[in-house]
Amino acid sequence: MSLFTTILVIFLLLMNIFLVILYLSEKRSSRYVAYDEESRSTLKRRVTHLKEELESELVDFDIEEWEKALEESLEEEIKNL
Amino acid sequence: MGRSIVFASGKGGTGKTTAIANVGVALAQFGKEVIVIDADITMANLSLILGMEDIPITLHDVLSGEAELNDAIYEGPASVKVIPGGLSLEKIKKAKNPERLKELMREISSLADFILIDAPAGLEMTSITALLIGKELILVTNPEISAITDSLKTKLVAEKLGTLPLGAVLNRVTNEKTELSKEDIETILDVPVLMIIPEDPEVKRASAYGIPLVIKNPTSPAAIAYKQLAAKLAGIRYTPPRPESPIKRVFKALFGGGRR
Repeated sequence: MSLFTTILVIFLLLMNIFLVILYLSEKRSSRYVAYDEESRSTLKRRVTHLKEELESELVDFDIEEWEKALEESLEEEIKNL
Repeated sequence: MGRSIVFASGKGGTGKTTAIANVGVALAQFGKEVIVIDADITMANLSLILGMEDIPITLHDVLSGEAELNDAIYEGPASVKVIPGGLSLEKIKKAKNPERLKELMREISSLADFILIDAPAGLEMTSITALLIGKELILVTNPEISAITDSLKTKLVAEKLGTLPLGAVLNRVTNEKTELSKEDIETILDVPVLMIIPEDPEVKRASAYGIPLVIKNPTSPAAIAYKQLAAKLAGIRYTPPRPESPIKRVFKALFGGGRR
């Protein structure tokens, strides 16, 4: 192997090590991904909790009553015009 | 009397709630008395961004006459005072009188240096009420056509209502070539761009935890921009922290602790 080839191989090897270090540091950086596993599970837990609350509320939710209330408030507004 | 500033956009999803939460907390960090109000009656999200979704009494209870205003004021991060909206459907149903917000504003305006109002998207009655209760307006918009057009409509309506437009906040800016430039947007909206908030993945992460970005990751690019905006509003000189050198970042990431 010529001297040039040896230097080239060493250079490429060092370059690869450098790129691996850069990759690893970026991957561990706080800005690598928007949702890491911990953030994702926190988000999922909070959303699931909210979903459960809303669903339990919907059991007794009277949509017709709401429609009626909205109609009444609209009528009031029209009267006030 | 404090300054009452309404954050509005016209279009949904431009980042109003995130902006108001972070600017409010940043102002409080600068030592200002701040009250943030979630005036988005039907889609209240401020409590989620601030991690306060489990609170018992909300603005909805006050609007329905079932609670006193003082009972719905909570101390949030960095001692910012928060009047959150209710997340429950039952509470939305009860709070059918957003007009009462105007009366409440008279009580609130003497309680803080800054009253920041999170307006709903659109130009429905609740949005108009929010525009009416603020004396000044900040448009939170994105550098794309639909957001700018909707912000323009909001600005024109606000001016008719006598609300003073302070300027626009350009949110989620990626500096792609397809985006409208700051100058283009200033010309279209006819207001100055007060701050450019860069697209920053840390915003999503902070909201997942229910912690405002300026607390969760104060050196992230968007957090710095929010603090600069707060400093501008308060007339305070603020020197942003220097970004870490790439070499320091590499060493820190490899050897010095993981994620915040």
